Amino acid sequence: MKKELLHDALNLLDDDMIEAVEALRGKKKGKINRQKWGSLAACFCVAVVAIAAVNRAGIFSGKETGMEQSAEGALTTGNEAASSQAVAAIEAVTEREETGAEGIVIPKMEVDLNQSDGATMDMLALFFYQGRCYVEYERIENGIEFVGEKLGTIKGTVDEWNIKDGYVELAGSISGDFYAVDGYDQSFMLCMKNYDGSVTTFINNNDITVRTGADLFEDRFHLTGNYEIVEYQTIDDEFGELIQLSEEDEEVIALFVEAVNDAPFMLSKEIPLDEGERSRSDRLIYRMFFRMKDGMTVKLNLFKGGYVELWRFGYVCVQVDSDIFEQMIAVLESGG
Amino acid sequence: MQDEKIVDLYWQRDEAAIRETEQKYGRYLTKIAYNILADLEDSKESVNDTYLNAWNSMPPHKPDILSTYLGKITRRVSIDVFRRRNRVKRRASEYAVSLSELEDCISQGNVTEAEVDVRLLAKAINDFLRTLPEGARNTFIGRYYFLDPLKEVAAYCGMSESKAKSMLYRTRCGLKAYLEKEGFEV
Repeated sequence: MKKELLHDALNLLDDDMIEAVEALRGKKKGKINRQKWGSLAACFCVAVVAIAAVNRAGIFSGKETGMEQSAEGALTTGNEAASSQAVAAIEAVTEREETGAEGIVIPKMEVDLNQSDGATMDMLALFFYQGRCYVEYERIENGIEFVGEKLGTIKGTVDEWNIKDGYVELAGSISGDFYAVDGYDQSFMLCMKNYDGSVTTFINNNDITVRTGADLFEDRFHLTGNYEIVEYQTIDDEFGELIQLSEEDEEVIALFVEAVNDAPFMLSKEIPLDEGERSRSDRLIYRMFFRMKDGMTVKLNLFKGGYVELWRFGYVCVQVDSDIFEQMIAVLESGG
Repeated sequence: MQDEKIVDLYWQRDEAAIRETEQKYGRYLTKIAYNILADLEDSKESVNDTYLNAWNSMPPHKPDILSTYLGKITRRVSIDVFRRRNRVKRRASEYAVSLSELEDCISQGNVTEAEVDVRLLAKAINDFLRTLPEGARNTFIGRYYFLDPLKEVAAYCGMSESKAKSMLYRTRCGLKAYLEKEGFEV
């Protein structure tokens, strides 16, 4: 059957079903028209009120400030296209406000220097640079290609640390030169070379604000369109062989990634636990590994209830749309 | 003007019928045409052809719901124009995108178009859509009948874009299974 035949058949849909959708479209259409074609004066008023409200709320970081500036700039030009852009920017602003998307502030890492023999430090490789704390993320065999410029040397000493705030520039639980990672923001990811030619990446997973999954997975990892293989493992098989998903599953995977990006962040400690569960780790059901074209891996922990978090970024998580999460789980349960 | 009166004007062969139709439904029909053709001039032409078709078909027809009657004409005319265009002129319209999405419902088998009765297929699709929850049905019709962009469909159906996308995916898979069950070689 030709796919165009379906469109011919759709032309014979029952009128009552079409009419029901017409009614929905009409409502939306009216709203758009008022905004789009309303007078410039009205548009200006809306813009001023919206922008003023947003400034009072003080919720913007750089990206949204850009939208705000576009809106103001467009309003001064006085042409219709520009005013439409202004309306679009205001709609985006309003959407942010409606979702209450102030974001989650991940606090600075608390380093307890009073522990005997630096036990905490032994468990996790980390270092401090430019006011941030970078923690070990992954070791990459062939990662030398994306090692960027050298930024400094970590002393690897803990006894120099300032007891009061737990921070000393270039101190850490490891030692050696560290570098930028090509293609990644230095404020998020850095790396160190290992003696065997591999590279260890470090991510700054604290003292930052994240709103939706896209803030992490797109703005920082550029996930969409850049992964080439997706693997997973059940928690029972955590140390077993990884299972690769097939290309046939790509549509569900893409939906899942989109849903992860859309979902607002929440505190992982707020994941509700069932009776008998002691922590969220009792709800961990799958791990997914998105192998990126550049050799990086985005590792996700999937929890019962649709919660998803990034490996080594466990302070926050997102709750994915339940339908989409179930579809993803169904693919994983079927063995890919 | 009420639809009944507009239809009466057509039956009376009064050219005011065209003016009233244009005034009431011009934008609605242009949107349908534009979603298919992605070209304003071609869309206007399709809408003008719609008025001519309406003029020629009323009488004998006396539609109960004028909007859907006209919308179907615009949709059919615009799809015909889309198909007549050579490949170079084809644009990335919502119709073109929807064609690739609908591949989930069918495979490119050996069954020729002539072998499938469009009316039987339409009946099966109608029956299938009536089995769906209202939200899924509206989303499907918004995307594949009106060919509205996913973002718009999600907005007027009151759900997130990713949820609408997921819902459409499941509906397409469900339609394929349903058509197979009904004996269509898909």
